[in-house]
Formats: sequence, C-alpha cells, structure tokens
Amino acid sequence: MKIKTDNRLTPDETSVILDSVADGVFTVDENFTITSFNRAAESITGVPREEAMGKECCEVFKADICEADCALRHTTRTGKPVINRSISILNARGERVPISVSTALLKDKHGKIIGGVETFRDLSVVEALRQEVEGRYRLADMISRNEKMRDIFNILPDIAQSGSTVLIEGESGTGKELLARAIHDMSTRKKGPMIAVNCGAIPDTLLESELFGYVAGAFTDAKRDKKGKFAIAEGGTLFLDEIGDVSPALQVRLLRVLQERQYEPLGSNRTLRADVRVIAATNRDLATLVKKGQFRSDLFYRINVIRLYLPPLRDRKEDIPLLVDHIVRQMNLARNRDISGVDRAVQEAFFNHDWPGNIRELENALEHAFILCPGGQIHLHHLPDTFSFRGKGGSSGSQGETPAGTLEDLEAKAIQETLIRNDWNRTAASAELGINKTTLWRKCKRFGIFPPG
Amino acid sequence: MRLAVPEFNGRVSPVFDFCRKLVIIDLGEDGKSERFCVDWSEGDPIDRAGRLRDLKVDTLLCGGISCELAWDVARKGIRVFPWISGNTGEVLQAFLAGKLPDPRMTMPGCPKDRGPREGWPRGWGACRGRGRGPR
Repeated sequence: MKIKTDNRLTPDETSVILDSVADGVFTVDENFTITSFNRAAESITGVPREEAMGKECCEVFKADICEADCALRHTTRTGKPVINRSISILNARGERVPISVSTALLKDKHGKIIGGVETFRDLSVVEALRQEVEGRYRLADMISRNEKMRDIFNILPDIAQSGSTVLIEGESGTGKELLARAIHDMSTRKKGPMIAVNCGAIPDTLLESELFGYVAGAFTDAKRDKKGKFAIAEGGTLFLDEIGDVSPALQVRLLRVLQERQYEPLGSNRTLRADVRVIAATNRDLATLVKKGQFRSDLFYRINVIRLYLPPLRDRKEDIPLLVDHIVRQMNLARNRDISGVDRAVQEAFFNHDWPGNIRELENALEHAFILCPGGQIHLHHLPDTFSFRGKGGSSGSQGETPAGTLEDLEAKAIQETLIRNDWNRTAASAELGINKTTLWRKCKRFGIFPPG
Repeated sequence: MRLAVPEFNGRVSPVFDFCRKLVIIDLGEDGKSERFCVDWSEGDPIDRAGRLRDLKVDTLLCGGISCELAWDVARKGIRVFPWISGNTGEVLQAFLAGKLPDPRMTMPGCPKDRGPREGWPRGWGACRGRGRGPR
C-alpha cells in the first residue's frame, strides 16, 4: 500500500481551486510572460486563456499603469507587494473596467524570484453602486445630502431654464461659482460662454473697463480696442462674484445694463446690445448694505429676481463624508495616487471643526494631506496644524475650542512630535519623554494620537 | 501619409489611451520615410484625438484603444487600425505591404477573423451605456 506522505496540492488541484474563485488570478515569469490565467481572469479581461498564455502580460491585461507604473514590476523590483490598488484595464471590447489589483512574488524552493502573481477584482458593480448613491446626492459638480441644498437642487433646472437674473448668497468657499456654472450648464445658454469676474479682486478703476471694454484712445494706455466681459459673454452667462464690493458709480452702469440690456464701452459713443444672462454672488448681506446706503436698492431688486442661499459647511456637516470621498477620488485621479480615505481620528477632527473657509478649506486640508501621506489612509499628522492635537480641529473663531497654547495641547504636540521623530517606536519615545510606556499609551489614547497604518 | 504608432519597449503600445511615446512616420510618394518620436507622458487621454489632429496624423496603428477615444479619433478624420501587437518595425512593414490584418499581429482576445482593420470595429458591442460610437 502506498502511503501518501506529500500533502501538497497537485497542479490540477491548484487549477481547480483558482478557477473557482471570483477574482482574476494570473502568474508571470521573470520576463513578464503569462504562465497561468484563471477563469475569472478570462471573464473580466475578455481574453481566452489559450490566447493569454505565453503573451506579455501588458498586452493581455491592458492596464492604465502598464507603461508608467506596473504593479508587478514594482513588486519584483522592490520585493514589496501591492495591495488593493485601484486601476482600470481595457477589456477585449474596448471598455474600461475598474479593478483593484494585488501582487506578490513567486519564488522557487531556493528563494530565487521566478516571477510574480497578480490578483484582481472587478469593481464595476461597486463603482456603479457608488455612482448610483452619489447620483442621488449630486447635481453637476455639487454634492449634498443637506435638506436646504437638496431644495436648491430640486428647483435649479427650472431656475436655469427661466433665464432670469440670479443672486447667490453664501460665505467664501461655499461653492457659489460651482452653482453658477451648474445654472449655466442647465440653461438654454449652455453652448455659449460662461465668464466669471471677481468684482472684489479688481480695482474699481479697472473694473469698468474690464466689464464694458474700451476703444482705442479712451485713456492714455488704450492703444487699441478691447472687448469687455459683457461682450465676451455674448450669448452666454456672466458671473459677477463679490458684487457687494462694486462702487456706487459702477452700480449705476450695471443697473442700466440689466434694465435696458445696453451699454457703451469706455470712450465710445456706440451703444451695444447685451445678450447676456447675469448671475451675481456675494458673501455680504446686500439687504443690510442697502439699508446703510452702500448698495443701490434699485440694483439690489434688479439682481434679486431669484435668490439662492448656500449654507456654510458647518451647517451641513452631514455632507463632509460625501465631500471627502469625492475630493479624495478627484485628487487620486489628478495625481495618479491611491489614497484610500481618512481614518477615524481625521473624521472626528473634521466633524468637530468649524470650517470658516468652508469647502475650499476642506479641499486645502486634503491637498495638504496628499502631499504628506505616502499612501493608504490620511491620518491627523498629515493634516495642517489646525487639525492636530487630540483629534479635535479648532479655528480661532470657535467657541469652546482653545487654540494651541494650553498645557494639554502642548503636551499632545510634544508626544506626537516625539513619536514621529522615533518612527512611532513607543519604547524609544517613552524613554525620550521620560515616562512609562503604559503612561504613553494612555496619553496617546486620550489625545487621539495614532500611528499610521 | 503621416502614420502614428504608439510604442512601448520597441513594440506597439498595449493601450493607446495611456501610451507615453508616439512614433510618427512620414511616408513620401517617392517611397522614402522619415520618423520622429513625440513624448506623450503628460496630458489627459481625452485630449489625444485632438493632439493627433494637431500633429496632422492621418492614420493611427495602435494596440488597445477605448471605445470613446477610438470614436473621437475617427471623428477627426483619422483612420484607425486598432488591436495590433508586435514589434513596431515589423508592424509597419506589414502595414505598408498591405498584409494587415495578420493573426500573428493581433492582440490576444481580438477576433482573428476580423483582426485589426480600419475604423472602429462595428458590432463588437463597443461603448455600452455611453451612447457614443457605433453599436
């Protein structure tokens, strides 16, 4: 009787197992030629196994990273596996398929590298579900679950189609220009230009010529005619941001354009027609400015035909996870990175922060993190200093939050810096701080200081 | 005629959308040819059709290409011969000799009886759900 002493799987048994899994699996030799290709790999790539075997893996896999940053080459060169990296491949029908890939080295019994193995998962369903969920909370480039925002989303198509002048009010960084863009893109003027002018950024002396243009000789440096923004936006939309900063003299000219649809470039006697839809925006309270006599009431009522108010981010914190997810994904695409998101400490810090800069501040914080975070999740120490210390972000305007300077804040900062300096080695950090390792662990837990990964 | 062939390691690049080098070949009526390379490591795939047009390319020989991009390239009046694989020099010779499609120069997974031929292959179920390109 022959006693089986070797419990290792036969090649046939291995093949049966690999063909039964839902993830695609293939192996390559040291020349990156395919040496095995399971059934799921056939199904996801659309390439039959017999055609894949013996071919260069990039010609079978057709991934967006093959030339610039092949995961298998990275693994064979560095010895480090790639885990769940999101990429896309082209299937045999020319369709892009989103997948996540992981790689590992193949070694012989002497430890010599003989190739690599790559596993990949089709994320098409996940991606479609994500778009479905996001689609419910999305209008153009704006995303929100907030009730007030969704009220705006619901009426926006009608507002866009009406062609009426719109006034958008909201703090800096709340997305006023995005909303104006959405209105333009849904209007009958979407094929025309959308021109944005920040009235607060241009000196008043230049703003008039910027908006209405001028003819040669209108003033000393006017050597030739120049079209103004009203002319450039002809047939389209003109977005006037920070309209509350416009001088009284210019307010008169704007009123005339809005009422009579006519204007004259500087230095010209010729009257031009303005076929432009105006969307105005401000972060100031125009009604109060009218009462104070700093803004013309007739102009206010002329632009206040439809008024939309964008709430600040602190009043719509339920949108923070959606916005973070969206911004991280956009930045990953733009920078060819694979940041997976933010950890719990960052989530907590974001919820506790007041966001005086609103969504723009959120984007800046994440951009800062993208520079410092090498991969995986974003942690507190990747964010600007505002968000560090105990996992609670503060701002100078927040009540109940103290800026860095209390003894506890200083203690938390010292602990964090010591840990980073010692590469998160608690033994070394506690020795440097002169405290017990258990004490360090307790303080880390209390201040929300966590190592990366 | 001005040909463009995306190249990677001396072979036709596997995915035109993400190729990093484009080889341009000018074929004169006297049979002489000139070639030069263009660095395509920067830029958005969505702009590639326009960039080909700006280079005055009239024929593209490529490997894999997404439905959307193939449609864009073809709409700009550029002939597209997709799903080609092989050494760049050999592929060019085969094209000039009128020997494409050649099953030996067809990417894995591409139907061999059709092979790479001009235009976006009809009936390949291209561009599902996008509403663009031939169906």
